[in-house]
Amino acid sequence: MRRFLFYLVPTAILVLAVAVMLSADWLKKPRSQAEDVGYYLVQLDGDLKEQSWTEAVANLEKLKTAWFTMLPRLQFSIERDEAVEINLNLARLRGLINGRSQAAALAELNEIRTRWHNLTQ
Amino acid sequence: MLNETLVVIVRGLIGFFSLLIFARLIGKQQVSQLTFFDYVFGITIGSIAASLTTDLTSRAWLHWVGLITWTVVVLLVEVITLKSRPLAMMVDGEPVILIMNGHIMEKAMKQARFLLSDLLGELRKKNIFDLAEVEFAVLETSGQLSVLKKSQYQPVTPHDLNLPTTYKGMSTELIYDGKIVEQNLTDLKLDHQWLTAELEKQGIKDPAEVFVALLNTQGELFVDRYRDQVPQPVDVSDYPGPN
Repeated sequence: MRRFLFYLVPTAILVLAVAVMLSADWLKKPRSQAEDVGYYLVQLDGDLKEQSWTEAVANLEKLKTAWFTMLPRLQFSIERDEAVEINLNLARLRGLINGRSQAAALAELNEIRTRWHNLTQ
Repeated sequence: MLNETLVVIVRGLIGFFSLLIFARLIGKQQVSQLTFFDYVFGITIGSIAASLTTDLTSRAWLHWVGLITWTVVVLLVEVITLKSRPLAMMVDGEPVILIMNGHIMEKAMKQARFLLSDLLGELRKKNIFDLAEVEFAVLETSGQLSVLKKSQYQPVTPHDLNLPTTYKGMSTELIYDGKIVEQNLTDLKLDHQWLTAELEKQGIKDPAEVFVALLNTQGELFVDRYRDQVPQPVDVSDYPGPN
């Protein structure tokens, strides 16, 4: 039994460590629509293309809520700088929507989408 | 929000336990016995583990893969060197004879980049202050110097004097930090009753009073109590305040 534990405990620690480090892929999947970052990225893309600025602001807020819900559970397995960059992208996007700058807002949104996609790559 | 402190703590725990497990996997050589390669390996995996903990600009996984890659490669090299003597010599190097039959090997010294002052210093560490006493000096792969003194300078042993000696092996711990080591007691086919009787002979009623109890191969029990009965303890400090 002692010999079994001697091998089991380190193995369990290593498995747990790997699970924590690779958990982002699995944790990225939303458990509800309120935390579905991918869904709000698509919604926002539609809003910007149609220049529906009011809807765009509402969906941006929902996107931010979804992102900040996801962040605490993704933080152990992603790069800190990528998370910080997404925060900045969201702040810039808010300014671009307020300024009704469609092209720049779409570019910013695409950057967020790429960063979100690459977060666990 | 991103909690960097929590991330560093979690990554620190991952790094610490991974390093602990991998280091145990590699083996438990003492630092003094490490070859240059072992030393470099130790520094490298330590550095990777440190990056894993605090370098939040890259994913922990990548550092961990680096850590396990080094460990696996070193394990492989260890296994191969166990089986192949030429490869072992390539990886770990060979011992170099610096003094042979009392003569300093200047060419070997140069190849090992070992100065005469280094040699004299290493000899002094072994309480040899006269080069004339040395028959052989070998620079081991760990960087340590092994010295064989000339026979006339070696201490006299009972064997030299044809004196009979009794067997002397390792002592066994029977009490460690106030607790009886049951396994050792069983291995020596002894029991609590015997131990209690032996302790009573030394005026001890409870094993919890004992810091360490060792049984030597002559059957003598050495006991050190927590409450040391030293009439006047020697104070080695010259600082008047609390030590």
